[in-house]
Amino acid sequence: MKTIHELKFRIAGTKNIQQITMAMKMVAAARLKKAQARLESARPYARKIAEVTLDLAALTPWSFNPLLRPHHYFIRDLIIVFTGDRGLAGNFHSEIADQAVEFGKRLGKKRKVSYYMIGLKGYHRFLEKGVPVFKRFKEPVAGVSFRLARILAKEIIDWYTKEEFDRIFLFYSKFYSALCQRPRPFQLLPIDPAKAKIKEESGLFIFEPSRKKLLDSIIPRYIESEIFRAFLETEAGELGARMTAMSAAADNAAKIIEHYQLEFNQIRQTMITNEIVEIVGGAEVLKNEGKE
Amino acid sequence: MPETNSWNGTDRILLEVVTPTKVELRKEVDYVVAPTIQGMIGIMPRHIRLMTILDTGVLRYKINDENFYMAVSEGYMEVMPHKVIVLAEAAELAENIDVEQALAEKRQAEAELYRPMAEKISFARAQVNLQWALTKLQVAKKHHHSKEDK
Repeated sequence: MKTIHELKFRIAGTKNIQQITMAMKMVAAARLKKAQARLESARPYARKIAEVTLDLAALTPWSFNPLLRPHHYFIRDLIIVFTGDRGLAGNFHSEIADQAVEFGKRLGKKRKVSYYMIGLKGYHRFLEKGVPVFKRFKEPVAGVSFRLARILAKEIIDWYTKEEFDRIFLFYSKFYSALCQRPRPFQLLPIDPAKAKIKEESGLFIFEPSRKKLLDSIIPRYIESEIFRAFLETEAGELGARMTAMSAAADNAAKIIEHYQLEFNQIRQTMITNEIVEIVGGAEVLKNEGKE
Repeated sequence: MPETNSWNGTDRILLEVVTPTKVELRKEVDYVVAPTIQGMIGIMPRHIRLMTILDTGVLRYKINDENFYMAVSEGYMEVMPHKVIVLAEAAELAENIDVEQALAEKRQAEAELYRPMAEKISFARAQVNLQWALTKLQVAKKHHHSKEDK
């Protein structure tokens, strides 16, 4: 049986935790709003440039650009896994990491799959599970800039053109809402023009200065923008997951407080009853003494 | 079937200027002049489909005989009969340009260019920065003049 003092102490402690989780929820909500705005404003560019690039790629034979051309040998895959640096976001990070590994396994037995980890939490998850990591991205991922995405894009393009990897995937969580983020793979390289919505009325189309030059210059931009977008989607998703997790934690704290409060009241009631019984008993005794 | 326009009964172009971080402009205009790497080109409604590379420079557009200017940095332009999409790395509307800041950027880029070769971090970077600062100043100036004319 817990003492009343112990219960009082626990209620106070849980209330403190509840306040902290509520505050964290508010912080995550405020940050989410910002991240979401950043994501929303980055999406049109990403969508447009993807549209333009894929259309152009569909109209062009793949021999025009090394980034369109599938490699002759087709063994090594690179999966770039996007997670965050900070925890307390439910199973957001581990979910992405685990699903990335699943995806890597599904690529086939004969393939050699490497993982490039972005974000500390995904890296830790991989260490925990003993999955070898090819490389780790060392910069902090929160509030990432376009320039950083560009550096990463350059590295990736280099790997592809030097034929160190034959396929490169991005694995990140697409942000739908604070409650819903879905990890998904995206084939970055080689560019797959099958996804292009080739317009029926293509007809006459001028490319200046030339189709090849245009492709050579636009493909790196497309890759940069896809990577930047993956960063932003993950960031928004992380904050959304944190908000949900903290909200659930605050609700749980409320439940625990209620439970303890009930116990506390019961004990207090028993104590009061005992006291009354004692007083009444004492009074009885006094009354009896008075009679004699 | 050619695309038809519903607005005003006249031919117009929907001009969209999009950067990686923002949709900078979305407006119906009568005429666009854009700086491509092969020189300025003017686009009127019903232009043939075209895709081209943009240079850092001044983008001009006209609405009801009034000129508007904006600074765009390297990017791409896709032209359709009634739509022009500009995908630029950076873009700024004339009224949003901070002249003081642009001047500071210009000075900084120039200082970078004049430094001894061994100390230079990136010549190309400094050149790009200088070009961008100059373009912004040019746009601000044009914007100012067109206001004075009125």
